[in-house]
Amino acid sequence: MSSEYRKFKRKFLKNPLNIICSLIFIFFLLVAFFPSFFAPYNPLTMDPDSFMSPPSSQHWFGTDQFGRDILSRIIYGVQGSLFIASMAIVFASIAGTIIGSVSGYFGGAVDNIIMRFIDAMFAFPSIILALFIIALFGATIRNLIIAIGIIYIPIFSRTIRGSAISIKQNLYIVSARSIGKKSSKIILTDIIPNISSIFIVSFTTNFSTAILSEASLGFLGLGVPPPYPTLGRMVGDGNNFLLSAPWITLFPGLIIAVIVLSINIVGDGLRDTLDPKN
Amino acid sequence: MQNNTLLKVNNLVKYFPVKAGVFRKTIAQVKAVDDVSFEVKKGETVGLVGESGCGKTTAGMSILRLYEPTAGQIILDGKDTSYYFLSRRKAKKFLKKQYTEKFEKMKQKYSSEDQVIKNLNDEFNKQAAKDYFENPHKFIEKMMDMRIKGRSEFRRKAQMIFQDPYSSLNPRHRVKTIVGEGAKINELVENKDELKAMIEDILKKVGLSVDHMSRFPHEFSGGQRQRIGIARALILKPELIVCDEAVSALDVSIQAQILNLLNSLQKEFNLTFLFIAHDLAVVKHISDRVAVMYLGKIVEYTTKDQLFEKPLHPYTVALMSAIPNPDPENKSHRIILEGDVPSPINPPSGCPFHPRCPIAKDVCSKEVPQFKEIEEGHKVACLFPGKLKR
Repeated sequence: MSSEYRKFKRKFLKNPLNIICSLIFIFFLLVAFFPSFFAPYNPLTMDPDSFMSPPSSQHWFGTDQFGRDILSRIIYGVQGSLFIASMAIVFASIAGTIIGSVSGYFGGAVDNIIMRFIDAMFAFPSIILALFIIALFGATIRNLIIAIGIIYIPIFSRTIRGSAISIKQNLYIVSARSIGKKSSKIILTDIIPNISSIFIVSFTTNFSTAILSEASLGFLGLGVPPPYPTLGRMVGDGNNFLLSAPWITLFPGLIIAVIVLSINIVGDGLRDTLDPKN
Repeated sequence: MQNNTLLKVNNLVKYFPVKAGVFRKTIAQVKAVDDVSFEVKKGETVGLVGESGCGKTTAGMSILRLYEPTAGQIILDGKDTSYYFLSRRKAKKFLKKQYTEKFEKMKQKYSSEDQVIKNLNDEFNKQAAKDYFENPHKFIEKMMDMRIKGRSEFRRKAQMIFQDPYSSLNPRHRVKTIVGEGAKINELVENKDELKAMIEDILKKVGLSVDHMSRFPHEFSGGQRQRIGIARALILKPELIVCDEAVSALDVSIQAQILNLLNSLQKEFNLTFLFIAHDLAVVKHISDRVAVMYLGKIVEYTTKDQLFEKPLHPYTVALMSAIPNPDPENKSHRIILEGDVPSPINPPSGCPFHPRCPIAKDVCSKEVPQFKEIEEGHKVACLFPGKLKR
């Protein structure tokens, strides 16, 4: 296993783009974990002397209509966005892995029922589903996580089910049955460990889209309630001043793009290295 | 019940449905195994030969209930195990059909219970009928009670060695996990030290060393992997081992090693093998008796010596003529079979072999030949046995 890991590391680090994007992502993780260390101002303090002031040496990214420092708000917003998106994906990936592997392993009627249910979830516009959940239960962080998580459950279930079906063809599954192993144990010890590479890849790629989902909810005003900053809400709030103070919208939007792009490239790199065909 | 019969298979049938259309309607059945009966004595090796697609592997998997058979009785060590892996409802239905209905119908036909027992052809069912007539309700009840306990006992007693040593070991598990798993699941050991000792012991017996324990399967060669597969089965102290083409994926030199290992393990543990193979040389080396399969049916079943000396079924004769003869002086006469194996979805009428049989007559396409004993211990399903000469 350790030799496999070394081989993986060497292959992954061969591409300089992978290294750069991993470093960018790690930087944003650090920002998310220690926002008070990075932020020059309190994100909630309003400075009456500088409303909508353009980027300067005092306010690198400028200030918004209430005179709050945009850089500091972005830093705290990154924390919120990453936290909500990652929790949602953890929730969705665990649920999706269980649903997908059970469905793929048992097949037949069980698979049919579960997959038709998943199909129904797919058919529902995802943002509207999230809006519905938040409108019903209120915009708290927990509800946001659940709402975004539910959007991603069908995606994970599908992917994991597909690979569970292909893993199931292996003789070691038959051989596990022949020594009297229970189905639940076969799923846990034989199926799930062998889909880990697909799991890692779909985790990273869906993580980036979950950040976008969170941002779109925030843009629509259904994110974390104000005045607490999130990237999506900042873009939405700055919308009204797009011509007079474009920096209010520009910088949070740019940061979303950079985070999503870096995660996507890391995800692609992981897929290329973990794909057995290469 | 004869004490020396370990496995008895009665009329085993396994059909795979072919589904099509929006509603997944069954449009046909692949008759992979169609009415197969044979028995295996304790401590012997029975070879099951036949060409690809004749249902050998399906038969082996159905016997171990890795596929649920469509019909048939599988008796292991004097116990009907056929209903063990069915759901409660289906098991009840099976017992009703297999015993209650059958015995009651026979009772009406023969008028007395003794006559029914007399007319049943095998020892197991005679005993079952006797028990049944004593107290029908209790008989079924007792069988149902045995179901769950029987399952785990069956899983311990009957094991399989697989064809492909590359896909039959979980790549994420270490050798000790792969080998020790069975003992843990079947509660053969009480603690970790005992388990470790047991794994070490088994690894030594199959010719691996103790320091292989914490390695992963990909660090081994094909032959060594097959040894791990053997250790995996052997740790459960099984009685019956189904070897599904256990050596066909290996080099010829390694094949011999594994065959010899199986032979010596058989003597040491008093194992019974059902050896599925397509290689007649391998079968000749290891088997005591041989069953020849064609298109889901057993066409000939006899001792190894008799089969190689005096094959009676034309298909067997043709197979034998295909064995290469190392003597250049002795030009053997080869019987080349024409055509392909017919589709098991729609097998030929009458004798399944008649479209390819060199001695087929008109009657062969109409009459299904009975699988019956022609000589002592030599069963053949052919209307003209022994007519095709080499």
